[in-house]
Amino acid sequence: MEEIAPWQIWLAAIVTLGIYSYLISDNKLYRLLLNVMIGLGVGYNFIIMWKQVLQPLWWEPMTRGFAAVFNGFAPGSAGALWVLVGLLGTLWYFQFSRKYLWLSRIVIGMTLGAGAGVVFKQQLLMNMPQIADSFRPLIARADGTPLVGGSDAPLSLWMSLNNIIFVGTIVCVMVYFFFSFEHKWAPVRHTARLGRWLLMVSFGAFFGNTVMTRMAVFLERLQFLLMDWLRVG
Amino acid sequence: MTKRRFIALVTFLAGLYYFLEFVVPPTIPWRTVRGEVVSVSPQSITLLVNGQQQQIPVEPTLKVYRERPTGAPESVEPAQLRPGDRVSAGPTTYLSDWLTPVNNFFIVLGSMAWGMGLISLAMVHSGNIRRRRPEWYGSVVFFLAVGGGIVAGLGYGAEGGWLKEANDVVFNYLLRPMSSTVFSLLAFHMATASYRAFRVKSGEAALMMTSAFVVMLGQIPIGLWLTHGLPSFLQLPVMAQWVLYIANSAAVRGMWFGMMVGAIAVGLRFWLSLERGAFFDREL
Repeated sequence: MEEIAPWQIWLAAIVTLGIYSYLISDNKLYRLLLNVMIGLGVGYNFIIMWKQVLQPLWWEPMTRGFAAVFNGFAPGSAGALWVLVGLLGTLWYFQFSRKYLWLSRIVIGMTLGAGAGVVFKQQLLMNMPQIADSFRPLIARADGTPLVGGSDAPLSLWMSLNNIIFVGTIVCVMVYFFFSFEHKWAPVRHTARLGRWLLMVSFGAFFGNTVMTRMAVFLERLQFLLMDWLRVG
Repeated sequence: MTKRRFIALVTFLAGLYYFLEFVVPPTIPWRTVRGEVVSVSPQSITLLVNGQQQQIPVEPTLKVYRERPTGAPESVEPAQLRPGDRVSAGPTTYLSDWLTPVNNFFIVLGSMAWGMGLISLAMVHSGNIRRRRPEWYGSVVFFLAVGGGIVAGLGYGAEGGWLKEANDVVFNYLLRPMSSTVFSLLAFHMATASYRAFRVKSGEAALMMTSAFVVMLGQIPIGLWLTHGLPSFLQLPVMAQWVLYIANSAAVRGMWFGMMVGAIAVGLRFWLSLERGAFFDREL
């Protein structure tokens, strides 16, 4: 493993403490470090974007295509057509022109159209298996198969109860989000209310999980400050 | 009006490919053969179809899909087939063949918008410097940092040299610690937010608080320590798993199914240029 120089640890510790100084109050050092972080991120990612996306997917095929064109339209000349994508890409920058703003709408429209097309495929492919999996047997065997036509596993009350809660929760939550008609009819109203309670359980779980994730990152930073920088323990 | 119609047409055509690629089968249905592979040669594939052997010539337009154990198809070359594989083979409809180039086209087109963010930031910060706004020196630092980031980025993937060292220092000792510190700052914000949110005023708030505490305590050793004497289903780690995998996952699915319908509806509105609002109604 590569040896870490003390000044590198000091550098990381200073920026870490500088950002944590915000916990005392908003201050100039914190705002300065945010500018450093955003600036470094923008510059760094700009080059990464070039090296990982634009160079291999656009620049190299285009230059190879032009080389083939100048070589008497040798095979691979079609790659030169990528120049058109470059020209199309420049249309983004007409966002900064009031007169020719509409030109930028062409690429925005193309991107929105493609995004919308991808949404059909993505949403259906992603959710169809989940929808199929949601039809769980309410009276289930220990391996999750239904009582009728399932395996030889014994009947499981725990599995059945879990499946009833699972299917019931999905139905209640969907009823809660069904706004096409007013929830006047008592069974719908009660189901929607139960759906709201179940959503609260879910939001609580989300909250707990998020706090734990952030805490894990905070502990990692604390560990760095105490063990790597201050060498405590 | 002509400009708007032209943009609507371009939007429609851009989405049309993905829509057709999804709904049109990858091979011509009435000429597609499904069966089990008996043998493969460079000239043909022999399949067992309904108990009878059928030879399929290997042509440039032939597309072969092998069934994975999960049932999902994967596109394979004839030479990759093994006897016993379940396949469907037929002449291609060409749409799926173009998926990678079309994806690359949109990835490249989208990536070219990246400079707009850079220009916008440069305009804001150069304005700060020109007008000597409060803390304008922060904007000078921003430009210096962009330059540093670009230099460090040039060292990405380098085998050695000072550029690689610059990349290591910027990435490992500046960008990574700073971004994870900012990320962890939210733990403190959430702690104060939770104080307000968890003041139990209603049944819903009580449910949310109980669920959050069960999930949080269930993930740390103290949760197990507190409840280790209880029956297993009452122990906090077990309850946390139950909340996450049964109650939470079912509620999230209920929301997702609604979001799926919403996303498809919004997608259709964008695709057919039916969306209305500030951006879409502006005169061109």
